Amino acid sequence: MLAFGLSLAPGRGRAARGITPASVPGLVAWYDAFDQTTLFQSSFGGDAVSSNGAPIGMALPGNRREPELSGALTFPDLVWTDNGDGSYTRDNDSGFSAFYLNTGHSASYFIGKLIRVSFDYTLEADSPSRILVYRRGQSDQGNESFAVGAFGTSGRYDGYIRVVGPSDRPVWIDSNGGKYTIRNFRLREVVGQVLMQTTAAARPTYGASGSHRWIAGDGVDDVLQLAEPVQYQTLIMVLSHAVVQAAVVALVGAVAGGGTHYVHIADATTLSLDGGTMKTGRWKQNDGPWTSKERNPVAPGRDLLSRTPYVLSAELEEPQEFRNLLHFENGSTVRYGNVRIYGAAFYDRILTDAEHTLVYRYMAGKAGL
Amino acid sequence: MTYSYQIALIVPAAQREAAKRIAEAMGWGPDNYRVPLSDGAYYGLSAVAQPSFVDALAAAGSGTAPEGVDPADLEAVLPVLLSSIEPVGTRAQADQFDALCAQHGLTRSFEPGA
Repeated sequence: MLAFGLSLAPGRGRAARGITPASVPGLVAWYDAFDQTTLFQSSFGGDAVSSNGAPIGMALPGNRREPELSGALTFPDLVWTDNGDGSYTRDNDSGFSAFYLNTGHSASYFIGKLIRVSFDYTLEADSPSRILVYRRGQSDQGNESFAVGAFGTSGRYDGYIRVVGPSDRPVWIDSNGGKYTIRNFRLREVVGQVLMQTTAAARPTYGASGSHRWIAGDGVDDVLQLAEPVQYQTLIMVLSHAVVQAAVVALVGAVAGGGTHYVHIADATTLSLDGGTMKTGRWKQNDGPWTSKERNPVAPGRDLLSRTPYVLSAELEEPQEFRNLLHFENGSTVRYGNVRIYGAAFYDRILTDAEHTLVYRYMAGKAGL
Repeated sequence: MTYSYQIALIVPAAQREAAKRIAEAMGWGPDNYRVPLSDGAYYGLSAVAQPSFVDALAAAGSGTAPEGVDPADLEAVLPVLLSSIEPVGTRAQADQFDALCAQHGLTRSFEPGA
């Protein structure tokens, strides 16, 4: 049941203001290509996706939490001056002198975790030309540097790091000299189902046209993956074709451990949902009727091979694992989705009709329906 | 960063590890060339690429190894590398990849659209 009751259910054809997939209990993961702040080119969370066609190495779930890391921040390197007001100044023009922040946790605590780092900075006399925020310890691999401007410039850094090994530092900030002050330093741990891809060739791409935004698979080797599979029972997704051709596999979800789950566009008027080794309870396209048929002709006149997005809802008879987006494997079968995914929400249970309507209306709004 | 090219690359299985090392040394991360072809005789990849990558590939073909790449790996891979490089949007990437496969008599080890 909805915690806020059913009185907020929207009318037909429009989404309720403030209602998102996260408003319905049981949400496992929610991905939204329209939220550009959740998409990054690198799997470490660097290089925000900013242009059409850019690869996507990491996608944050819309329902993530970012609790503050506990433990007092300390600055062990004496080149930093504690100003006593929550700000710290580094004044050192004698060359390299890096430091790292001790958050009260051992280094091993951070392994495999995604950490959000943010701080404000002000450049003062003898300003550095760059500040480096290292993602992987003392090595310059995986770091992110950003150029800074002239004397007096202020700015803000807000990015992510993923700690890989025990010797990696949670955060390591360095510059090429000069004097600058940082304040409002925050470390937050990202909690949620983060999709990532460390292999460049296997990264899907970001697309934008008009009011639409999507994640596109190339149908060859693109896949985003969770670190560990999670269970889901209901999927509501907005998708369309990446290309206009017959017999495209429109993959909507994938599972580890034996089950498969994908949509297959057989031709311009036939959509099928393949449950593989598991049983699909029921599914439907847009606001059409629910069906339990594996293969279902759509309404005459609706061209499935167009790039017009639609909403797919599927309920499984039993919870299954979800790990991959745009790809699945099952024994000898390997498939890569050649589709555009605008958004997807996974729930760990069957939704009530009223709950489904809420999420459907939200997704339909994304699809422009 | 502008990704203005779409590329398909294929190598024989014997050169796959060397090709993966080259890709990783060029900042592409691990485990590229993951698509088996013709029952694992070849492996391929499909990706978007920046002009700098295409330039580096061309320079490598002229004997200039990109920074961090083992020249021995290049020597092993370049003579047998099958490639297709096109401006983004020329056609679907899957079509580009399948065309390169067909050109050399290779088939994917699964049916992508069946």
